[in-house]
Amino acid sequence: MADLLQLILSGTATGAIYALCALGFTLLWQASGTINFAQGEFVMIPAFVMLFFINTAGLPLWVAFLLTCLVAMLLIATLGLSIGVKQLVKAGVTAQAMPFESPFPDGLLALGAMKVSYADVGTLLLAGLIVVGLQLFLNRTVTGRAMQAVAQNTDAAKVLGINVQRMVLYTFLINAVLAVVAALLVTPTYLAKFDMGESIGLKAFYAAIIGGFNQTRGALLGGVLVGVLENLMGAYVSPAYKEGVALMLFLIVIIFRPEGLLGKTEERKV
Amino acid sequence: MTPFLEVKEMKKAYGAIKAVDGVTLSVGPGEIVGVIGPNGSGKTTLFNSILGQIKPTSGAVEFCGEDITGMSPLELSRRGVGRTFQTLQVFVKLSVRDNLIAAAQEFKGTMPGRLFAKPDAGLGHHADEMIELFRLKHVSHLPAGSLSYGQQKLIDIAMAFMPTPRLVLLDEPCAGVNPSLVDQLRELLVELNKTQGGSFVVIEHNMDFIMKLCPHVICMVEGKVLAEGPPAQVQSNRQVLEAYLGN
Repeated sequence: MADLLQLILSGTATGAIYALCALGFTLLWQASGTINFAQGEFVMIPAFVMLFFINTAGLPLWVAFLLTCLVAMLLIATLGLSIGVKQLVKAGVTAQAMPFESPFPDGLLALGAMKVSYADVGTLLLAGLIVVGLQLFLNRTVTGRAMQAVAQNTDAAKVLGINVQRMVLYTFLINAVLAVVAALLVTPTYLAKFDMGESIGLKAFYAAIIGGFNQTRGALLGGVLVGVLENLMGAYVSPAYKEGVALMLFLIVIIFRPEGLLGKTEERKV
Repeated sequence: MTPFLEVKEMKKAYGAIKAVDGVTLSVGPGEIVGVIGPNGSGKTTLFNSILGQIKPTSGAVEFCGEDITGMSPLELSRRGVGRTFQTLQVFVKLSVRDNLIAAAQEFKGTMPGRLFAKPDAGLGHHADEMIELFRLKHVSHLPAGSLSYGQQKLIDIAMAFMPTPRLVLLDEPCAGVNPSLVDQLRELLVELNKTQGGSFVVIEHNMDFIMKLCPHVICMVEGKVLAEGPPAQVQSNRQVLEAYLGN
């Protein structure tokens, strides 16, 4: 039983990282009707930018993180980066996997019979903090409400004088920060590599669809579900099938509930 | 009276089809002008051309002496021009109160200030006044999408008036509204005209509504202005009757 709980907790931590990425997918979709297939690369770039600040500039991790947020906001708010960026990093930086310092201490935390790593606990806490902060911003500030208004009815928002382009820009900037946090959390495990974005981007995309592309809470559920089931599949069936979990869930959802687990069917006028 | 809104020789063609064909009209400060005409007569296309939502083929629009032809809805909104649509344009997941606040937030404070401002942006009191006026208090906390069509229509109209616009173009405000609400709606518009002092241009098929609300009525047929004047005069115009009833 303790093993099962341990696997679920650890899977939830991995899932939280997918969820952060998936949240970026759903936010962008809702605000601009855009599916950002460069989302994985959005995670890969900050990993290398942070490495630069840590290894070359000799800055501590938290300073590197903050600077990377700024750089990501400037660099990432552009679509269509996927292939170009990947090849640029491969040719111009390195094709090798680079080690990355974890923001959390090594070691295990005993929770009753369970033993969980500080990294998993820290990942869950940080991801939770980001999600709660984002929800507070969207629901408790006038700009957050305006972003929701744009997502719900762009035409009405335009006529009412809401600056739609600015709201979409804010969404991209938020997405950039989500990507940097995801990079910070995932890179110590996956290592910084030019193609690290492929797997994360694809899983986050599946997670967003599994949870419901038009619901931010759907992205969270999808991410956690993928993370937990991957862990259980790896432990109880075979690690070889682990990578196929997201795809399998995605197919099941597309066939039986195409709007996603928490998604809502939307009518579109033509 | 100096014209507030002036539309000069407005034309909009889709290939060989002339949706709007040389319409000229003027609206004075505080004036309520009705636009009637059979379906397909170009009324909504005229609205869309005035408001920069489609590019007119030719013609010009002046608002308070400024050429606003082709300006974006955002630029027009900043100049105090608002509109409603035939179809509902509310933010379905936001509450009624938040819909009203969202409708005016762009006009409150500075951009950095708004970024982390409280959700009501200092507009809560004004929103509550509008909620009271539109008799939506009992549903003000509910998501707009959960309300009846008529209630959503009222929210839609209240949103257009939240920024206290100088000119509002209302496209079929009575469409789909329960007959018992139509009189209420007319009274509301009269009240808003008195209190806010803005000018309204109203497209409507409900003749009783338009005749009681608008001191000046324009009838459009096949993209052209067929008749204009006081409602009784337009209503009794033989060509107008033929356009509606056929020869």
